Amino acid sequence: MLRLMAKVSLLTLLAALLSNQFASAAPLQPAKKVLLLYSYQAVLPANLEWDTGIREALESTGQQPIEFHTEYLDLAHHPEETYLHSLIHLLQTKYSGKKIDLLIPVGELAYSFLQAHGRSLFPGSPIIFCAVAKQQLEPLKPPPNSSGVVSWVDVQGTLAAALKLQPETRRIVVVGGTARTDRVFQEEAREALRPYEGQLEVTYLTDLSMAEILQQVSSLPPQTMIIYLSMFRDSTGHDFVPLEALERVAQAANAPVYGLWETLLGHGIVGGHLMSFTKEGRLAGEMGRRVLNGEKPENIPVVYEGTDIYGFDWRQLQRWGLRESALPPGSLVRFREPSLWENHKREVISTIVAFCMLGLLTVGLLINLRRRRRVEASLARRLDFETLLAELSAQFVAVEANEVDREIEKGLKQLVEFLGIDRGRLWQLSGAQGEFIPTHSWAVPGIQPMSPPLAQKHFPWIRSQMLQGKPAAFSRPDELPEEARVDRQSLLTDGIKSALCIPLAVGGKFIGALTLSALRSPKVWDPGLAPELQPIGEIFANALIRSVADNELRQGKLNYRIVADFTYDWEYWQNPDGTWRYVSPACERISGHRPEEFLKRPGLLRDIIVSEDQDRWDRHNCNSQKDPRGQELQFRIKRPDGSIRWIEHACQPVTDNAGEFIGVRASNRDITQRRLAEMSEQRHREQLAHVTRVATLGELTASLAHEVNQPLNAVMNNAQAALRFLHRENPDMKEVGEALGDIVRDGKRAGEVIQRLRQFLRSGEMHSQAVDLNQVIEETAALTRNEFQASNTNIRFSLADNLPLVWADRIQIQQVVLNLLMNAKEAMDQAGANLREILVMTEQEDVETVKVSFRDRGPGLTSENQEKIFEPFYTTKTAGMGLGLAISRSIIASMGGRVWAMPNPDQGATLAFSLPVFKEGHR
Amino acid sequence: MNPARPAVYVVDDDSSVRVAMERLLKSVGLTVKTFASAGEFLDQATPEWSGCLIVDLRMPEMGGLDLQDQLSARQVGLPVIFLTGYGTVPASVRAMKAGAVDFLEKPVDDQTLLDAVHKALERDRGARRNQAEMQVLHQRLATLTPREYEVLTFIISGRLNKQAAAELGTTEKTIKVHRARIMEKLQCTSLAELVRLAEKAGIKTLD
Repeated sequence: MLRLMAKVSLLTLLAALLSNQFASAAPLQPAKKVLLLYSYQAVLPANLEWDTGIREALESTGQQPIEFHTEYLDLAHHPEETYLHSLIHLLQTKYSGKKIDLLIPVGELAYSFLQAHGRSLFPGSPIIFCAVAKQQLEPLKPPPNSSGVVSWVDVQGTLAAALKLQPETRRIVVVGGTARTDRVFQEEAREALRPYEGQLEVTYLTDLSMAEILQQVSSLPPQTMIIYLSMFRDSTGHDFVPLEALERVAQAANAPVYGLWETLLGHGIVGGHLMSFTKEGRLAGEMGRRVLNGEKPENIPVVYEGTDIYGFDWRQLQRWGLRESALPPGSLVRFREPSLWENHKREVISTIVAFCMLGLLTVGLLINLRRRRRVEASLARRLDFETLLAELSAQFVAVEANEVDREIEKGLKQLVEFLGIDRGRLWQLSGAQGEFIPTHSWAVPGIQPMSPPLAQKHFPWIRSQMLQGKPAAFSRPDELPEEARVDRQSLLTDGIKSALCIPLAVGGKFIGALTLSALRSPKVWDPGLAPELQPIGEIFANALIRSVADNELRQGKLNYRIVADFTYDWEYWQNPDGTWRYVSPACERISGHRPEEFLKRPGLLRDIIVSEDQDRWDRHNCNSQKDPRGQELQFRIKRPDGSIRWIEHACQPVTDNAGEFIGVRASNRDITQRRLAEMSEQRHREQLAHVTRVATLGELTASLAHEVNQPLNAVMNNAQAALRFLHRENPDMKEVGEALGDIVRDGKRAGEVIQRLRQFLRSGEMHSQAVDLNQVIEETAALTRNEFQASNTNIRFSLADNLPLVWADRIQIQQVVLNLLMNAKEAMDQAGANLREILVMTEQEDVETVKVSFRDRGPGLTSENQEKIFEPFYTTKTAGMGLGLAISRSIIASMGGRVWAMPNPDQGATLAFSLPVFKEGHR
Repeated sequence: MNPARPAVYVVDDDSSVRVAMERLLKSVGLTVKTFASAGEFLDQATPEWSGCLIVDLRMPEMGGLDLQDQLSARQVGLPVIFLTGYGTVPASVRAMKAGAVDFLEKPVDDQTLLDAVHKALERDRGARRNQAEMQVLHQRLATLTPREYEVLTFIISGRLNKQAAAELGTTEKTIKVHRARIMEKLQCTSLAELVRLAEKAGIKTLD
């Protein structure tokens, strides 16, 4: 059952399919009969074209089925009457009784045939003609019941295109046959060529045999082109298929051949404005359809179909070397070779695709490779860089303090060589001005290593960048921004082509810069180089700091060493246990013993002290450790050669930061010279004092003489009186006795004066003792009594009770008092005062000081004089050396006091001196 | 103090000197009075004192030369002997010009001193005598009338009686009378004596 159903359905399906075939021709109508009459023989390529076109057009648009009949009249080859008759007969035979619905003559031969015989052969059949030339039509006048397609060939267009392709053309050769159709085309050609006859040489090879034609076209001169029209028959009467004839001609030709029909393209012509037979046919077919549908032919206008395509054979273009660009726009170019593409599209495509893919793969691989290479290179570089970094770090870490500088230079060398540039420099920021001083440098040979500091005025921008901590890099000075104008100029001056400047900072503190420069040729910096160099910069910065620190340390040590060893004084450092820790080399010069001797024997110092001074040394030594202020002591030492030296010793206990006592620091200075000088000075002072005493005394001669004279006189008188008393008759023994007593007293008195005088005049060393100033003043005043009386000068005394004693040389105090008294008196002498009075006052000024003042009523002092009077050789007196006050000052000063002068508020001046109060134990 | 009896007055601030001097002068029988200062002497001295003065040049407050001035100012005419331990030429010149008898230097030789003292005493005596005489003279001159005085001046000027009369507007006779009376009052016996007397009295001549 199922099988039956299957069969049935299958059959039904088949039937449906089959019926579908016919379904298209749905209304079952009788087929229309269309008779195609071709002018030429069957095997004519053009016929095929026409045929295709006609059938296409007729079949496509119709609902009715069409029965095609085709007849090839071959009239071109057989124009004779006999043939014609046979033909007519044939046709009659064939088609009598058949009603032809449409006649389509193709070509003018067929058309004229129908004109002549159509009515009889095919009565009433409408005609749509095809491929009839224009010329042929007119004379023939379209008969009724006919229309069609008139074709015309565009020789002009082809020629124009050909001339465009070959603008140098001088000759045109027209090839054509001798058949009637040939001649028609030749007419058209002549017509078209007429305008060119002036410019171009036109030759018609239209009456020759094929052989002749072939021979002609093969030996054409240059700048020639051939226009092939048609060749149905040559002059010998040989028939040809125009296409075949073309092929032969084209093959033989030595110039490009142009043609007029589409069918010819590919058979030898270059191309031209081509006529398409297929189109012709199609047009005719369409018109035929309309006729079949009922339209009357005479109502369908004749179609004048021109050519409308420019077509060219690519192979011919190549053969003759003609440019495609000279072709008219929109031209078809066929037969392109070597179309691997054309022939083997798929293969080509796949090959292309394959190649493309291969190419892409290759490109991809290449890119990848390149990228990898680059990465590898970068890695390699990075590795090198890291290695350099590590090396540098290691170098600097391991380096000795004093080799840091050398290592820095080595590092710079490595860096410079690594980067392939010319010079690397390390700069240190120093000074108040913030100057960049180059401290280290390495340059390739031939390049100057050092240069002046990175001055503010030469490189302001770079400096500011550094100070802000920003690196600066440029491959050419031009790359720097506008504000770095000055820098650019300086770089050009210095010959720097490229540079990289990296600021160096340690712990955030900016300490300097690293500059790397190329001077011979510019260097393009990798963009990432500057940050990469930062760690190197830090290494250098640290090294630099180390170098600086090391230098400072070395300098510091050197300083201390110099200070210690080159000290002029003998310095030593004594440990708490009494041994010596350090002795300066000067000890040898001073003591005559080498430092090692003291280090070996700490007690040596005491031993060389002169015995008298050793007690004092012992006492001092006990105290030195207790008193933090330090102690001073003077003593004498004896050198190995026996000479004595005066030493001023000062020492101080030393404590460390924790306050622990770590020894005594002492300094021994050789003051022998000073002492000698002091002693010499003292001697001189005493000598001078003595001299002035003598001189002063000279001024007091009157007083002195008087002092002595008085008792002397008295002695004389007493003696003489006594004698007289004795010579009396009754000698007055009482008187004599008294007289003698007085003599003795007066003699003593005189003696005392002399004694005092002698003492006063004594030269030599001072003998200091505890002196009562009041006493000295009174004695000295007595000395001056005479002088004062003579000048009517009075001395008034205001002497303090219980005045403390002073430690002084009596004679020298006397000298000072005398001097001041005389000065006061003389001040008043000059002034001629009425009441000449000197007030001498002693008082205890304070706990430690005693003051003696001499107040006069003289002219007083100006502020200028106040100090000037103490200058040596300053005097307002006519006589006198002017030394008195100078010496007085010197004397008092040597006793630890001072002398000064003041003007009085009322009149005159007061000169005063003060001396320290004498204390027990004072030395 | 007996004014009539001449004495030697010693002024010296030095006691030894005073004592010794007194002793020496006493030893030749002179009367001596000593003073420690010029002031002390001036306080006590009177014009009646006669004798001489030994003075030290240099003394506090008032020196010898000043004392000398003071004496002449008070018209105490005692002759002065300067004795000094230290004398200068200007001082001595001044002293002598002011009328000192002598200027001696200590230590002084006793004989030299005594000689000077004698000389001084002599001078004093002479001076006093002169003084007495002068007194008498002045008394006598005082008895002259103004007219007589006038005539006296003419006479001592060497004018003749006749001339005097003419100039005075009187007669020769009158002049002669005046002359006689003058001679009598003044106890002169000769013209020469009159002239001497007038001169002594210090009466000025007409020329």
